This record gives sequence, structure tokens and C-alpha cells, in this order.
Amino acid sequence: MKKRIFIGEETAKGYTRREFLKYLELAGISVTIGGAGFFAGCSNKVDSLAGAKEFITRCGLCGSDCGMKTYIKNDRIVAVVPNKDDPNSKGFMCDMGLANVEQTYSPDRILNPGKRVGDKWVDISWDEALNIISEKLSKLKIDYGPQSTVCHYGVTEVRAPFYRQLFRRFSNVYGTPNFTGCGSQCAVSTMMAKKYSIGSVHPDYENTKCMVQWGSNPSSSSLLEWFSKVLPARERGAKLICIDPRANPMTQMADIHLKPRPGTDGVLALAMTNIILGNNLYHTDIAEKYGVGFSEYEELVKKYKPELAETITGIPAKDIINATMMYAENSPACIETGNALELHINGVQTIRSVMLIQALCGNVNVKGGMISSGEKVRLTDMELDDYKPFTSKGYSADRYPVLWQSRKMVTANLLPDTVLTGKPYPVKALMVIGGNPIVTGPNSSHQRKAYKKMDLVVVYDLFMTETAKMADIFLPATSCLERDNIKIRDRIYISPKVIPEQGNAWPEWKLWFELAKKMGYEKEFPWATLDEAIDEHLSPINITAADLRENFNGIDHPLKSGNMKELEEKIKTPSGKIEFHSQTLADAGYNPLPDYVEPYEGPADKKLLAKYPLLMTSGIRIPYYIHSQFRNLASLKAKSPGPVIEMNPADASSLGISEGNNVSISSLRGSIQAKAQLNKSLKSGIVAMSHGWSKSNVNELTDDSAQSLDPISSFPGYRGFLCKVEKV
Amino acid sequence: MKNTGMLATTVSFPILRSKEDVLRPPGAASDFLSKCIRCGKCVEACPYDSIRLLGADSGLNIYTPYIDPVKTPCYLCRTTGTDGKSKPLGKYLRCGKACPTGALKPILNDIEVLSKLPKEMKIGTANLNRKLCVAWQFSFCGECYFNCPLKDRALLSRPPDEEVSRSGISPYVNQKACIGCGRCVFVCPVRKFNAKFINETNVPDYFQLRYGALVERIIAQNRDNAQLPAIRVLKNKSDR
Amino acid sequence: MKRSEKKNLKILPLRRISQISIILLIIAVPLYSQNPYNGSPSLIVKGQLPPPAISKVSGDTWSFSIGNFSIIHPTAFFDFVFSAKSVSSSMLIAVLIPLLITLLFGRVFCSWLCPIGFILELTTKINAFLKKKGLTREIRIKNFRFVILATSLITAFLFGFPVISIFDPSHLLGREFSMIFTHQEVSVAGLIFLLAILVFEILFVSRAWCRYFCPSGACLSLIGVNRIYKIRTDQKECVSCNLCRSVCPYNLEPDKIVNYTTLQSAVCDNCGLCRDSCPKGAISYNLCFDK
Repeated sequence: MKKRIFIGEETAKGYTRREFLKYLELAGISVTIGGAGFFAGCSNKVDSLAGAKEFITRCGLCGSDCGMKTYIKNDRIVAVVPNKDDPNSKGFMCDMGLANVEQTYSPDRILNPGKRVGDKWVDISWDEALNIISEKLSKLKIDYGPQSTVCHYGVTEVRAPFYRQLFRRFSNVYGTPNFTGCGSQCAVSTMMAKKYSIGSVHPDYENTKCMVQWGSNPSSSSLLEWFSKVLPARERGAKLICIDPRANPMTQMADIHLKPRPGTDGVLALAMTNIILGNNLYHTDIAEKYGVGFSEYEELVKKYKPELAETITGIPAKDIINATMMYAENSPACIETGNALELHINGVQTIRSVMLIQALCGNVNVKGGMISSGEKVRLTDMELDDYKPFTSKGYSADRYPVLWQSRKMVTANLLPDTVLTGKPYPVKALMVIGGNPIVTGPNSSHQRKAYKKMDLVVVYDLFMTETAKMADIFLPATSCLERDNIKIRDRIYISPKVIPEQGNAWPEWKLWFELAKKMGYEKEFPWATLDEAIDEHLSPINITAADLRENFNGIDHPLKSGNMKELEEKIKTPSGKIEFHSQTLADAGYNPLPDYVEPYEGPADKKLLAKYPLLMTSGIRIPYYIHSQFRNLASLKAKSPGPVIEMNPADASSLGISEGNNVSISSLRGSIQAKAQLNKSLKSGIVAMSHGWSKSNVNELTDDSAQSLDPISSFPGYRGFLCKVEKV
Repeated sequence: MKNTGMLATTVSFPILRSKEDVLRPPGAASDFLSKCIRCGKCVEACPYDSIRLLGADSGLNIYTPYIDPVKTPCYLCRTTGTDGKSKPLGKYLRCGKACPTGALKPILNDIEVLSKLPKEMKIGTANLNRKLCVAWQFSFCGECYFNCPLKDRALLSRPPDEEVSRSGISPYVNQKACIGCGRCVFVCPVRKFNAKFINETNVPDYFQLRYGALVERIIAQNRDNAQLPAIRVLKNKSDR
Repeated sequence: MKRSEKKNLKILPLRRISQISIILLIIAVPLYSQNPYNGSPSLIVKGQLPPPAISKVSGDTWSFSIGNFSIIHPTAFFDFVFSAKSVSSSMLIAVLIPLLITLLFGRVFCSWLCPIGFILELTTKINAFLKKKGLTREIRIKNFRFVILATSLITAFLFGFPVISIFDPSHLLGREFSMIFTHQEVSVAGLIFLLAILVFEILFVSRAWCRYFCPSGACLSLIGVNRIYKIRTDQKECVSCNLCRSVCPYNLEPDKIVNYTTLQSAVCDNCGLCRDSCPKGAISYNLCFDK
């Protein structure tokens, strides 16, 4: 008889040991399964961030330098997040910064130098590439002189100014006067306008009571500034006046939104000045004691009554008056202008007139108005500005004398003319470093013709851009996460690279060091490492690159010794006073007063208006792209998939166009296609488009003829030219 | 007869009042509370564990299923195919199929059908509060738009009829097509940072950090109106 | 087969296997259908969804389905009918098999499938153990089963929500497992209720729930009152050892049974303990078409 185990009960029935064990086993299994399942269910499957090391750096895609935390595993970035502890950006990062990783590892990246043979690209080594370039440049220098080579820097070099300085050093040592770049269509016009009016100052958002954003849309273009300066000012209660023909995220929260016809901002500014002077809202002592040419200016402004401004700009006179009163009565106030004002034939003068309003209302060099950063100690000149006098002037030096004298730069906008006509002298070679002028420069077809004619075109970029396609030699660039970036501003800091250079890509400094060696410029480029060059640059203030690497947050750029107050209040114009009348401009043959002239192609030209009835403002900003960059990054493309032309709904319906239709847009220069998008905020007769698309390139429509460019700055009239739109 | 019963319940036991604002799984019948036998099969059928059961604090609704999109949204029984497109896991939504009593009616898992559901069958409708929305305030984000299974039908990238001129995503809910699945709610970054998402290596939830600074701003500015997240699914009020 | 050989085939192992299988089932089913990817939105890369967890099997002893085949507890069915005042064809089909089984075999659910039945059998042993130590108290309880059933159904009818579905403990247990595995949540109210039953049974009366309180059991009893598969005692073999009476969880008297009274018939759940315990093999299952 089997032994039975009795479990606490007096019955004849019990369990055999076998049965008992069986039941125990079953119970045990069920508990195990249950327990395991429970714990399995509890854990969160996490993504591949585990085991990654954290490196802190800054994004280098724009000037904001937002703090960034990168997670690196096996020398590969697995994630990027904004750095909450960065004192500057405080955890802000835009979508582009987060797409940095996508760009760095994009399969479209070219990671090896290439030489174009016919239509095909052949991989070559850096040695061979540099040999070709140095031989060619040396030969051209002998045959045509160094001025036959043009050096062009793109906006990526503006983000890495130290490397641009090395580029200029190379070009100065080589001897070409023809240094140009995106400064032919951005920022330089404002700098000149400020220099010849109120000096180099910027808005003090922290303390201002009223902000005017004039042709400026930081909510789409200067995102950190929007988030960390403009928005807090608004939240603090500062008034906001927006002057923009189109609504944007910022205008939604404006107190007053004025919509002038594109290109007529000068009239608006002069009308506002008229109102201020007419109502005695200005500081007479500033005008008369610290100003040059005030009485002439007063005379000029008399005819710009608000009613006249209304007929030209399309803004009701009472709105102009309201805006002016709001500005004048809420002191201290500041005005920020954007690239939009620069891109007309009247750019410099318009911005001058805008800036002078501020002087009149006592908002220059005051807290809460426009302030200067004071004068900093000068660092070693890395560009070798005074290396040797140029054997020839820049090719546009005569036409744009102020541009030439103030910045020793020529205009990229006249490059095609120069190359194709051979005047004033032949130009045979072009080096484009980190830029894409075929897409972002005016009159793309004209540029292509010029590129075809040149003997040598060298392009340094990450991708095969439209400009790169026309190159003879392609040099692979590093993304900003693969190179150290030094910035010199109020603080000096290095944003370190976090991964090694991908493939055969080289950072700019290496390109210049090695190319210099090939050209025999070892004396001028004596450094073995980047840090040595940085050390030389910073030697006047006794800081080394090693110091900067230890102090991630950087070191203050010391101010020049001297009377602080004096330095802060110094007006940085040539005369040291507010220049209503600019002698520099007068000497160069320009109007010394900021009078208004009609934009080049505008409704004033009745004949043209009949054929091309719509006024296009091109170059509206999208917060996911910088000019022509990032179009190939999926995460950004998903947010802004393709080029659109924004139209007033009434205009669209009168042309039989509805939302999403394919339309063709043509100007005197050419024609492109895009999808139509209806935008109620645009006034009738105005259309708007973004730039930078290689397939629907709005610069096929823009003009680069000399008479269409701003005579002072040479900037093209992107923001106002006539076009017509038809349904396809 | 049915309504008298419910009326009697709500009148006589106020504390056991049926929760008006709880979101039911899709296809809930109008007399859901009567039909649901609290079997929990919808909970098990749900491939993403979105359906949860209410607890004792919900009175008569105890053990009935609900969906909290903030915790887990309804994925409409769809998954991502190898081509990156959304594909249904079956012919019908699984919860309705699993329900033995017909408290949840099965709904065809087809985008056209889902975007045209009658109001009673929906989970709810999304409502976007622009003051709390990162995309409307700062031009960034758009996560809700990209994660909407009925993208461009229920969630649009721009309001069709306003004077808005933006180069970014400005999410707009088309209430007619929205089924209330709550995927938008789930990915909306405007909510309190959940410490649970930090795993053992202390690597934070980078999705929350991506918008962290912007979200902190919004929360700080809207203290009195902190109905987070910025987009929420609200129950449709039944037609009486 | 001769009766003496039949005596060697014990029902209990089969029944235990059935009961343990059900317990495993109500643990395994929610386990397999759970999706461990709950959590952070950042795990869901744009456009990508967490991997779905699809299980063809769902439910517990209240309502169960494998694919399109589903069965439902008869009490659940009636609970629903009373509260919703409607019935669908799928429900009718689903209740068919359990109804048939109950009609034919009586409340076999209670002894063969009910997880609470299994747990309470274990607590019966603990109660017996404690009884020997003198730590228990006997309480006389009236039979409330049918009263509870009637009240629940009337409440469901009047107020429009299924009452028994909320508190039936076999269903409660299945639901607790479901909640634990899918969402790592647990219903405290439900747990307290279950524990209260267990404690009561351990300290006071064993199988009190099944005998005096369970409305589902009451409903099944009513349905299975005229079942055909019953316990039968061969009086010739019976030696009145009373072992069968001592093992019967319902305190019935199997040795007296030749014909059942209705009530006794309704109470017996065909657990087979009496049959197994009879040293003479006098008790057996039989198809009895007579009353």
C-alpha cells in the first residue's frame, strides 16, 4: 500500500507522495511563471541610451550656440538633447539642433575629396586634391594675377568665425583682393547703416519698455533670441510693435502690427520721424548737440507726412500715428531690424532712417534702449589684414567704394558679370567654403553660366549641393559636431567636438594649414595644431586654448581699459556723433541723408506691373531650415515638406487657384513652380515665398544686374520684385 | 425602461453617479454601464494595454474599462508595417470584437470608417488649448500632428480658415473626424516631467527634455490654467 | 467495467488537474496579452509604434474566448439580461455550452472550474487543522444564496448595472490577475473582499461562501436542479462508515442517496470526494434519467 501523506485532515483519503509532489510541482511552476511575467511586465524596455557616455558641447548650426548634451557610444552619437544647465540657452534647442545627428550621419554626406571628370565624380585623396588646387592657383597667379581667384565664404563660416579668419589669411597671403561671401546679402548692410547713423548698438531686451520688430521675425529665424530675450520682454509687459507685411507667430502677440508694402519701410520711417519732430517728441539736445546734419534732416522729413506714407506704404495714417506714439511714449524703447530691410535697393538708407528715430527719442546708448557691448581688447589679427598691399583693387571696389573701404570686400552679386564680361579683369577661379551661392545668390541661371566659364571651382561642403555640382574639386567638410568651435564674443569659449571626423572629412583649419604648406606659406601658417593658432590669437589677453578647454562656460573677453562710462556712451560712428548726415557716404558720392527711393522693381513701374502684377517678397523664414541647408533631413522635411507660395485668398481665387494647386511663378528672369498656400494675412497684390529650395529656387526669379542692387551695400532686392502667378 | 433605471441610479445614489467624463474604449454603446459585465476581456484584447479598469473610487463604474490617453493612448489596433506605413492588426478593432455582451461594438479598422465614426462610437474628441501649446506659442513641436493616425483628417497642420501665417506646424483639430484615440495627448510634451521615465542608468527621457525649456515656460505662465497637456481628449456630451 | 475496478480510478486527481489548469489559465491569459512597452513617449519614435501583443485567448471563468469561440458563465448571462434588458445572438450562442453542461451535470463549475472553489478547498484543510487546535468558532449561517441572487438580479434590473459581475469572487480573482499583469495595478477593494472571504472561512465556517452566499452558485444550482449525471449510492455495498459524509464539503449525506430531493440535488456539485472516499466503492456517478 502506498504511503499516504495526511494533510491535516482525518480522512482515509490523503495524497500519495507522488501526487503531492506533482501538485507541488504544478503549483511551483505556476508561481514561477506568474512571478517572472510580473517582473517582465514591470521593466520598461528602454532604447539604446544605456551605456552611452555623456558629452556636453554646443550646437554650431547658428549663432545661438545652444547648449547640447550628446550621448556617445563607440564614437557614435546615439542621441542629442538640449542641455538644461547651459547658462545661455537654459535647455532650449530648436528642431534643427536636434537634427544635427541626422545631418552628421546622413547617407548623402560626401566623405572623400572628389574631382569632376565630365559629368562623373572620381574619388581622389586629399593630397591629390590639394596638389591640383595649389598648382592651379599658382599658375593662375602667374598668368592672370592673384585677383583672378575669388574667395567666397558661406554662412557656415559665419558660425565659425575663427576659421573664416584663417580663410581670409590664406586669401590675403595669396594676394587676392576678392574676398566675398554671404556678407553680400546679409548683415553687412545693417552694419554699415548703423555705422553711419547711430553706431554699432543692439537692443537691450531685458530692460526695454517697448520693442519694435521691423522686418525682423525672430520667432522663425533667431529662435534662442526669441525664446530667451524677446518673449520674456513681452511677458514682462513690454509693448510690441511689429512691422511686417505678413503675420507670423510673433505678430499674433503684437500690440500693433503694421503691414507696409515691401520695400517702402523708408517712407514709414521718415513719416514716423515727421510725426516725432512735428509733435516735439524728440530730445532736442541729442539732435542738436550730438548730431551732425540735424537741420538738413529736419528739412527733408517735412514732406513725409503720414498721409503721403499711407499712399505709398498702404498703412492707414492713423495706424502710423498710433505706432509712433506708442514708441515715443514708452521709453526706453528699442528697434530691431532684420535682413528683410536690407534686401532692397534702398536698404542702407532705410535702415539709417529707422535707426535715427531711436537717436531722436533718446534711446541710443541708454539702458533699455540700444546699447553697445563696449570696446574689447583687440586680439591678434589672424587675417593678416596688412600683409601686403593688393596688386589690384577688388573687382567691385569702384562701384561699391564704402563696402570696399570699410570691409575690404567685394560683392558676390557681381561675380557672374565680372566673369562673363572679363571686366575689369579676368576672374578664373572660385573657392566656395561652406556656402551655396547658386541657390541662395541672385539670378541662379546667370551664376551657373559664370561657373561654367571658370577654370577652377573648389567647393568645401558636406553635401553635393547645387553649387558643388558645378565644382571641379569637392572637398568634404566636417559637421559642427566633428570639429572644435571657438567663439569670441562677450565671452570666449570653445565648443568641443564630440566625435572624430567622419570618413575623410577635414575641418577647415586643417584644410588651410595643409593647403598653405602646399603653396609654400609655412611661415604664415606655422602652427602644427589648432590650439597653437588659438593661442596666438588670444595671446594679447593671456588666455590659451587649454584654459578654454578647462572652462567650458568660457572666459570673459576683457574690455579695453579706460573710462567705462565713456566707452559705453561712445558713439561708434566715424565722426563720433549721431550722423543724420554722413560725410563718408557723401564723399563716396551717395546721398548723405537717408532719403527714400522706390524699390527697383515695384508697383511704381506701371508697365512692368501690367505684365507682372504681383509683388513678391522672397526669403520668408522657416524655423526648420537655414537658407538652403537641411532640406535632406527627414525629420525637418516632415515639418516643411516643400516650397509653397503664399497668396492672398482673393488674389488666388481671381486666378482660379485654390489651396494646394501647382502654380508657376515667373519674373523677368525666369520661371519656377510651387504649391499655392492661401494666407489671409497678406494684403492683396503681395505674394511670399521661402528661398533655398533647389527645385523651386526663387532665385531663378531674382535680379543681379548692377542697377538692381543697393548702390551702397550691393545687396539684391529679394524682398520686393514683380512676378506673375498662373495655375499649371 | 433603460433610462429609468439609470435615472433612478443617478438620482438615488449621487455618490455612485456614472462618471460623465470618463473615456470609454471605441464603440461604447450608449447604455454602456448596463451592458458591461466587467469581464475585462477588452483589457486583455487590447494589443497595447491601453484599456484600463476603473477602481472603487468610481462608484458604479468600478471595473469598467476606460482609456487614459496620458498613460497609454488607443492605437486603433494598428501597427507600423515594414514600409513604414500604418497597417491594421485585424479587420475590426479588437476591443469591440472581444466584448461578449456588445457593450463595445466592433468597428471596422479602416481609416475611412474611423474618420467618419458617429459621435456615440468615438472615444471622445481632442481639444487643443493654444495657450499651452508649444507649437502655437513657440513655432516648435507638432508631435501631435505627426503622431495622429488620422493625420490631415483629424489633426491638420494649419487651421483652414484663420489669418495665420506660419512656416511651422500649427496644429488644428477637425472635431468631426477626430476619434479621440489620444495619441496626440500621449506625445504632447506639455505635462509634468514623469520621474518614472528615468531608467537605471539615469539617462533621462529625452523626449521630455527636447521641449523641456519651452514646456517649463508654458507651465510657469499658465499656473491658474494648468489643464495639461495642451491637447486633451474630452468626452462628447451625449445628445439628450 | 466491474465496480471493484472502478474503485481504483480516483476522480480527485482529474479534478485537481482541471482546477489547477484553470488557475494557470487565468494567470497565463493576461500574462500573454500584456504589453511591456507601456511608458515613455520617447520609446515611440515618430511613426513607430510599440510592438503589439496579440493574444487569441482572453477572459477568465466569467467569460472566456479563444479566437471567435467564446463561452460565458450562465450567471453572467442572466446578470446581463436583467441589467441591459436585451440579449444578442452571440451571447445566446456563448451561453449555450455552459448552460447545457449545467443542465446535464449540475453545478460542476463550482468544483471543477471555479478557482475560488479550489482555494476554498485549501482553506478547508487549514480550517480543519485549526479546528483540531481549537482555534476556530462555529457559526450558524442561514442559506442566503438565493436571497443574494434574487436581490442582485432585481437591483440589476431596477438600476441598470450588472451587480454580480462586480463582486463575484471567481471573476474578481481573474480580474485581479488581469489588472496586475497588464497594468501593475490591483483593486484594493477586490482584494479586501477576497481576503475577507478567506479569513472568514479559515476562522469560522469552511466553504461558507459556496454554501451560503455565492449567487453564481445559486444560479447554477437552479439551472442544474434536474441534472442527469448524479451521485448514486449502492445501498448494498454501503457499510455506513460515514467517511463520505465527513468529506462532503456541503455536509450532504451521500450514503442516504438513492433518490435526491431537489434541494440536495441542487447543492451537490459533483466534486466526487464522496466517491473517492468510499472504501467499498459504493458511490458512483451515474446517468440517472429518473428523479
